[in-house]
Amino acid sequence: MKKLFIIIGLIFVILNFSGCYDYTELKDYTIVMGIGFDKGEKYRYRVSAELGGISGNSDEVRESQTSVVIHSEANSIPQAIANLTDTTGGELYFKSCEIAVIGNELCRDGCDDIIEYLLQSTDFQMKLSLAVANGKASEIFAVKPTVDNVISIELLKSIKTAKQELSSSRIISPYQAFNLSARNELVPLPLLTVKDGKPVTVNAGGLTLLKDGKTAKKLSTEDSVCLNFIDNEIERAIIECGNSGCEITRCSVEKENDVILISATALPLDESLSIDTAENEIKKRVERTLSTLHSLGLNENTRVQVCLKKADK
Amino acid sequence: MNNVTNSFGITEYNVSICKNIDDNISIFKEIFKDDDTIIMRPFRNKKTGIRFFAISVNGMVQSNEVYQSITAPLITLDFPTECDDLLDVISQEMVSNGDVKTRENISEIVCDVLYGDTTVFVDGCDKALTVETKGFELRSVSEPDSERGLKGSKEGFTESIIVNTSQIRRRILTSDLKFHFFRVGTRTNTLACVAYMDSLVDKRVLTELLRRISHIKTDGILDTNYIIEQIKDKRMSSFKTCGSTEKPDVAVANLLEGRIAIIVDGTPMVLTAPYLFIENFQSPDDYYLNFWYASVGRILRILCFFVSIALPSVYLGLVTYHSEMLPTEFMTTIAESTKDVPFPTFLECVFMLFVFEVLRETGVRMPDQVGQALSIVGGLVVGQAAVDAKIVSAPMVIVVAFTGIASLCVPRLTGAMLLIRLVALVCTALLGFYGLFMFMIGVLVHILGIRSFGYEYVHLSMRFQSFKDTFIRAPHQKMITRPRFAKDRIRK
Repeated sequence: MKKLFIIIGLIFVILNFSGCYDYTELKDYTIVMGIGFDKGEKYRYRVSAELGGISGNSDEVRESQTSVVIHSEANSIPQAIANLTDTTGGELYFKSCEIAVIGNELCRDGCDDIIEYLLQSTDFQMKLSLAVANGKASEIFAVKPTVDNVISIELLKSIKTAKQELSSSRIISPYQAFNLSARNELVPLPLLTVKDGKPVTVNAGGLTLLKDGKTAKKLSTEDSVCLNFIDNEIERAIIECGNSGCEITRCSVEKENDVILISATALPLDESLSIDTAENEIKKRVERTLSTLHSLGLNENTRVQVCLKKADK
Repeated sequence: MNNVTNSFGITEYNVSICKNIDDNISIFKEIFKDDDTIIMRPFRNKKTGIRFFAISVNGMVQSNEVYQSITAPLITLDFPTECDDLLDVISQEMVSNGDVKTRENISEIVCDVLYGDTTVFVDGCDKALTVETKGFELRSVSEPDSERGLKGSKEGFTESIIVNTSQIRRRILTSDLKFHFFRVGTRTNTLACVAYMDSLVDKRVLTELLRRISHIKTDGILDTNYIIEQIKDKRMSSFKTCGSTEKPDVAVANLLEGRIAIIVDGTPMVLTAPYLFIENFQSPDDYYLNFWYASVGRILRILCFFVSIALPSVYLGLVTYHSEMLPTEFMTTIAESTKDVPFPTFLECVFMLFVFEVLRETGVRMPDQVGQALSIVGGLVVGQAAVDAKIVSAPMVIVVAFTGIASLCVPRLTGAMLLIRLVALVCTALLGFYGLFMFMIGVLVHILGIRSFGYEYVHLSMRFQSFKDTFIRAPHQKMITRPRFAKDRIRK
């Protein structure tokens, strides 16, 4: 009798708590590596998706290309994505999608609906990174990758490098963007710019500030570093001071009343560069960025103080 | 002749030795009717004329020994004619061999004769003398193939119970070591014995073991596994609750921990009981090598156990249900590898596991010369050609190969791992990781519920003395206690 109860209990638990009835082979999926949103020509939205894991039949094709970018347009994002599925003929797998790029024009008009869609959709993973294209998102995905086989991976790596090595970018997820927006704060998204040259590359330095879901200001690489100073997002930065430069590490920020106190460890890259000079230079730049924020209605009446400590070699 | 069966299932002859030697000859002719290997040699003393009759088995005795120790002295020498004195004089003064026993029971005489001894009957006496004259061919002591080691003794048990008991005796030179002989198997009458250290063994375990052995009702015992399956706890479980070894040093180590060894004639495998789950991961080399190296080896074996039972299921779960757990680049690699394979991943896995088991099984039975070629062919054919033909994917070949290699690291659990692996695979195919974890919990509950002769198969304790010889092998000077089933827990 006891065994019967245990068996019945087990079956009850299995039937009620199991969610693993969706058996699907990996080969039946079409993996989406990155997704882009632009303003459509005929319809409201144009969605671009980079599909990964594609290989040709010959060695030449296999070496040169392992991803394909497809596009579709519709008046709503879900419809556009459904049209993408029709294009491929297979089920699209978005859980590997690590970057979503929003086109400049769409961002200017407002991209709250895109962020909300990415947040609410269960197809996308939580650690998806958002970015804004300086032009069109489809142009970003059209760039031939130089190192990796997939442009989405290369974009993500360049954003991470810009954040960690230069502190000129950030990694923002739709969840974080939504939270900042809900608190009426500026949402800083990495700015992707196509750089002409041989080969054509994408630069991930710089930030786009969104206010109320619309582009408020584009910051240059220098201003982005200063913004990261203010928000205590500095990991490692190089500040140019005249002909020389200064490496900043171990930054801490305290906000007391209306004063932002920035403390950091600095290593001058040139013996002739003094700490005071570097301190003044950083203060000047941060104040300039602060005034930009003031013009956007934020951080009004806030002053900044910079205190640098020389690092041991 | 009315025969009865005793508590061990052995046939007993319900007839006594007669004083008339011709009657005795008739009895044994009846018992050994149609058996041409039996030598029945009547002879008489040339001085007194007393008649004798010796019975032995051709090929089981040393003929020279029989002649020199029994026949020749009894024919030529002088001795008194009174019955009791006669047997006494024969055993004390005439027969110069090692062991001489006086027998009154026909069943005992039959057993002795069939095992290579010679029994002598004297006309006018209702007792007989059994003289040890064993001379059958034995395999020499060699290293067992199934338990090769880097260091330590290279001796292994043989098929002779006498040689095996001597190998144990040589290593424990104390009267505390006891051997209790008995026979098992109604038709084979196989000689077996239990060995134990009197001051260390738990008498309740010994009593229970003997009780279970006495309940074995089978016609033949050809190997210790016949006994294991009939005395183990939880008989339907794939986990064994009796240990087995072919190495005398391992058997002796077990005896010194308070265990009981069961030695069966005709097989080099010796059983030990009680047996704990952690012993599946122990190796004799652990105690002959440096304790650091031994500890690493043991942890490796434990990890290999988990890899062997779970790796195919984890791969299946990741690929079919939980793809989001895979790094993107890895996922694209797997997707590209499996793109042109027409079979579902589950079938691929089952097929590859089946092929691996076939190769392993064939490798065991093939002659050495062919085995090597077969493994190369098997590896090339299965590994390379099947992948090229898109029958299986390359990641699957890697997963199954590593699973197979990991399973060879823990040879004592081969059967259990095979079963668990397959069922885990099915559960994962049905319910993903949820099914896998449910099944593993079930296996864990099963293992925790097993007992070996009254002692928990898995004993959970946080004390260091409990860990000293489980996940690691502590230095010898730190291993100061015996397992909990030993009567004397402190090693001294």
